[in-house]
Amino acid sequence: MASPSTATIFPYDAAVPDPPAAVPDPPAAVPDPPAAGWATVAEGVPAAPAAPVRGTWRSLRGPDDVLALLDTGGAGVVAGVNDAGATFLAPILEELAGVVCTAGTPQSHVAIVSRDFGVPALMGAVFRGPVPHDGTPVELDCSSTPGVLRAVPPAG
Amino acid sequence: MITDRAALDRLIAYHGRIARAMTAERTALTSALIPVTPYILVACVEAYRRWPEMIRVITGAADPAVIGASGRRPGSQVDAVRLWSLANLPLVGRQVLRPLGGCDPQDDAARLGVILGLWEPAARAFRGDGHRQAADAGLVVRRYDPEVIETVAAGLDPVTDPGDAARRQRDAAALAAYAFLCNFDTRAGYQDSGPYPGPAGTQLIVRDVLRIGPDAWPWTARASADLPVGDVTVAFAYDDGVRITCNDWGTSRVQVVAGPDDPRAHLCAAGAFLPRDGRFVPLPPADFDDLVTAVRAAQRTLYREIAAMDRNARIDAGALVYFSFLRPFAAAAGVDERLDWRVPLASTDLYPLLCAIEETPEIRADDPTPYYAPLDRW
Repeated sequence: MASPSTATIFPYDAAVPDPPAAVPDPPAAVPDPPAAGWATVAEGVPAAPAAPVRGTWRSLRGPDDVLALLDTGGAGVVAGVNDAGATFLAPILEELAGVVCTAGTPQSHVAIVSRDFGVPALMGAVFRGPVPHDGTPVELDCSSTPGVLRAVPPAG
Repeated sequence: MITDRAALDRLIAYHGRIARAMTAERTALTSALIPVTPYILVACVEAYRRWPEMIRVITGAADPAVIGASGRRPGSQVDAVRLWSLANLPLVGRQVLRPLGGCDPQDDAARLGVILGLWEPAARAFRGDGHRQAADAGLVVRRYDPEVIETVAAGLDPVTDPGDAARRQRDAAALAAYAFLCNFDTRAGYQDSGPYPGPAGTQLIVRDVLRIGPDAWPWTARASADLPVGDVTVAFAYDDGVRITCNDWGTSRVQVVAGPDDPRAHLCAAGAFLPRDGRFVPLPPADFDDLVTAVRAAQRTLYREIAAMDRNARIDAGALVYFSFLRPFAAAAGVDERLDWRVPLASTDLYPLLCAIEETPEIRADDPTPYYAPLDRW
């Protein structure tokens, strides 16, 4: 199981040495990733150094999306958000496998709370192409800077 | 009150340099739950227009230095975040009003003279080290006196292993997340101070979690009804293998400089406390666990309630939190009840415009333009 305890949970600093490169097992709720074909789909600045985690992608655009996830649970979900505030994800953040935020920096509120929870977070993420569809298996790697989000490109 | 225009210009430039650097480092303020930028703008305009008269009442009742020094007492909300806001919120409001023709150049100096006339002596007395802000002092905020820190250090429990360290951090994060929610994504409810020298070469971070109880705000009454306390403080002791800094927004950073790469391996003790009668009283671990459990439940309730508020209600709530940054100063002076804390009152002419602004401009640390316009440009 991917455990928050495997992540470094303290404030980001570029001078902090990378954590061990061991990749934790994916959460049980997440389908096995494809054997090959992972490609980087986004880059950003890690909120804190953290070992890679795998999960399923879910774009969260408004409070209704968060409330829906409250009902089903956030375990194994790598959430994509545009907000760097701490409040938008508040009730679900602790459960998430990871966060990819298209705004903010490691000093933003969501980054501060994420690293204290031990939830890997990528800040100021820039996507190279389309954002993954919900349910896409992804890998969030915050073990070095820049951090990356990987996914399998859709066939064709 | 500061009447020397050159002194005021120096203070305006001083705050601008620090505010620019801090803002450039943090950047985005957006939230799909809470319209952060609109409420900040509403509150800052209100602060520029209303705080000077309110501050005259405050400083008429108590010496600014005495008010500032009161922040060194556990439980006081005269703190680094509110001191930063005391100076900077009206300066931001002034920047908003200036291009709209909303600032009278003759009146402007008098307003800022009153505001900064409270801020400067209060900030010096709060810190007690000759500096006014963390940026002047190598990013250190030591608001609590050594005897207070001795009490904190004596109340810490050893951290047994990395898993224990992670659990304690997660529990503290649960409190922080709820404090952000109760206080509408502001630092009114969550801030670190330190690093404080602890025993045997350790360094302490003290994290005050404020205003999460049922009486904190109108919108916390129901969600926080089962919380046993409204303010709680947690503290962490690290060994000397990390370097810790803290800024005036209450953000601490822990960087490993020696020993194991994982900062959790350097966390040697932690504990929770309640501010009581100007002291910190240890909160037994079982009571702390109960509090964290209650907070996790309350968070879901409050989130649903905020999500159900209409947009203007959310803006007004956030503006109230920001505008109320002055309130602990009034409380310390004993004039809290004499002042009108409702908001918006003085921004209604601009309210539709301010509420329509969702984005803040990108701030670059190396921009040579003054962050806050000086007096003598007008």
